Amino acid sequence: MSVLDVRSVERPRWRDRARHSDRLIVALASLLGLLVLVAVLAPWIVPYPPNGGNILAANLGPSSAHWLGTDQLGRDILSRLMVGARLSLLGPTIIVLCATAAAVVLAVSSVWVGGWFDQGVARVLDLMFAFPGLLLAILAVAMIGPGLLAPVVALTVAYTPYIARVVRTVALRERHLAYVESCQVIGISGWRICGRHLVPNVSPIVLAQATIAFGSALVDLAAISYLGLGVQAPQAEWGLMVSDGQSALLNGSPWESLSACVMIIVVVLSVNVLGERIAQRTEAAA
Amino acid sequence: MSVVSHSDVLRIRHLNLRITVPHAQRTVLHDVSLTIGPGEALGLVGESGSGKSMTAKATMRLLPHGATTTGEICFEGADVLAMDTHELLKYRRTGVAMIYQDPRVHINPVRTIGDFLTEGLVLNDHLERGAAEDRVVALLDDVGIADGRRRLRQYPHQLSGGLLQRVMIAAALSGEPRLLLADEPTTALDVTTQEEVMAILDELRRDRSLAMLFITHDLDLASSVTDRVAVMYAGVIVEIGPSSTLHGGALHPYTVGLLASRPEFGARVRARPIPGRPIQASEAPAGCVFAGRCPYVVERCLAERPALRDLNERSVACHRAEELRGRIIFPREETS
Repeated sequence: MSVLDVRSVERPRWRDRARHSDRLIVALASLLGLLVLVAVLAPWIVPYPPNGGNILAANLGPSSAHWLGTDQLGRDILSRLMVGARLSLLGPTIIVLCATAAAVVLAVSSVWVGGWFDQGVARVLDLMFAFPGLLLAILAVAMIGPGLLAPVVALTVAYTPYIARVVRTVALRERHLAYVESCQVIGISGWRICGRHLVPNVSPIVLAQATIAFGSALVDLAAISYLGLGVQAPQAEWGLMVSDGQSALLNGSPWESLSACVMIIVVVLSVNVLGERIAQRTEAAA
Repeated sequence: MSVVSHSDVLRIRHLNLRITVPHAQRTVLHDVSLTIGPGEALGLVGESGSGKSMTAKATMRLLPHGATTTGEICFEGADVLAMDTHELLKYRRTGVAMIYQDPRVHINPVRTIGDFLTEGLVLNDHLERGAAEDRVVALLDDVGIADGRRRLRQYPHQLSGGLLQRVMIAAALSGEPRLLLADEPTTALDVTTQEEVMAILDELRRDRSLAMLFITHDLDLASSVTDRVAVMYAGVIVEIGPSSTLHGGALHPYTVGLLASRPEFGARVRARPIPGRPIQASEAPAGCVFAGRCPYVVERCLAERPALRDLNERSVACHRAEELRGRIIFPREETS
């Protein structure tokens, strides 16, 4: 017998697999991490105050003083992008966290209880699928008023069924695995089996779903703001910046709309690819 | 029956179980009655689908959605089917334990052996994690795992089937139950491991005077480790009697047929399978459940289902038990 590294045999397999670092995942995650860092630190690191500008220096192109130029009120676009990242990333984060939590609770409890409760939850989810998120958000704005709150609440409701449906499928398979029965046999309560055994075992697919939902939520929120129903001026937000920059765009200075668009595209693309990668890994591991 | 009824650990009386399948109700168990005394081991033998495992699941009250039951399952005098959630959890934690055919699928694969074994103790006995681990290591020692402390850090996939089954037995014993339901605990193991696991199970059972329901399809195994053996066919118990008189004393044609269909060691004789195929409980005819495959069937068997009655220290559900006693032979099947 040759000498084997015993420690490597004893280590659980999934941890080993995670150690084969997927460069793309690392690159995308660091990019997004950097963006979040910039967003968090924005008020302290912006080169110019985001809401103060010199009207005489409006619609300037990129220069060494203003890396991305200035908008129609002479405000520094880079500073506004950095500060705008706060609301643009915070909104989808809240939506995804709340929708995921609601979806996991709904899906796992309905799978656990089963019977008419499961059927009822499934029908309610079907009903919720019928409402497009954007429409629901506009409706919510009409009722609550413009701002970040209304679209965030509406989109949370709209995203819950998408996540819940996938989680339910996986949880259903998991629930009928034999180890769940042996947990029951030991006398572990249903709450605890769900919380300590089912939820952790469905968490990879939850993570993948949540990541993909984040991209859609960001686009939806930006669209709401673009329509003037979300975040209100003079606050900075990417969707709002796209619409703000439109008149300047026609006057030959595309920098505000363009840079905000690029930010949205970069974030959504990275998040989606990341989510897809995570989903692929989950499947490979299963 | 040999045991006084009020001291029985488990008493199942006239249990009928029906489960819901899409668009229909299907009978799984029909009028099942059995008792297990303290420290007694009862074997439950039958072909696949005869309702052995469902009997165990009903005892645990782990029934699928839409299952309906009549009759009663009494554990130390308390009706299991009537327990509320709190009583049921307590019953499962401390009254009864179960081990399975395939231990691998019965342990959460992403948690360590230590997590699995200590969860019940931390939760039910409110032990500190450290104290629970000490208890568990002692239990693992009891089931023949010497390096328990190291095993606690390992994951299920790192252990062999035999080791995992011992871990399952340790888990079953951790609640200090009075009744152990063993659902084909050695079927998935190879023969030598099977031997070891059975020896451990037998020793532990005697040390702790644990009552056991031992489910298997292996008649020889059942008669060697249990006090009495019950034979099931299509959701019905057709014969119960002392294990010592099973060979040679079997009264029901089905039991005799099962004994005859074992391959005989040494002799180069073809085993004689029972003609026909085993039926599901839901397909059972109005008369005797075995009538369709029985070479001694008469009209009465088709018309009227026989009840269990006592004969020769055994109980048998066959109309012709007296006249056929000791004379049942299965005709050799013509092979092409």
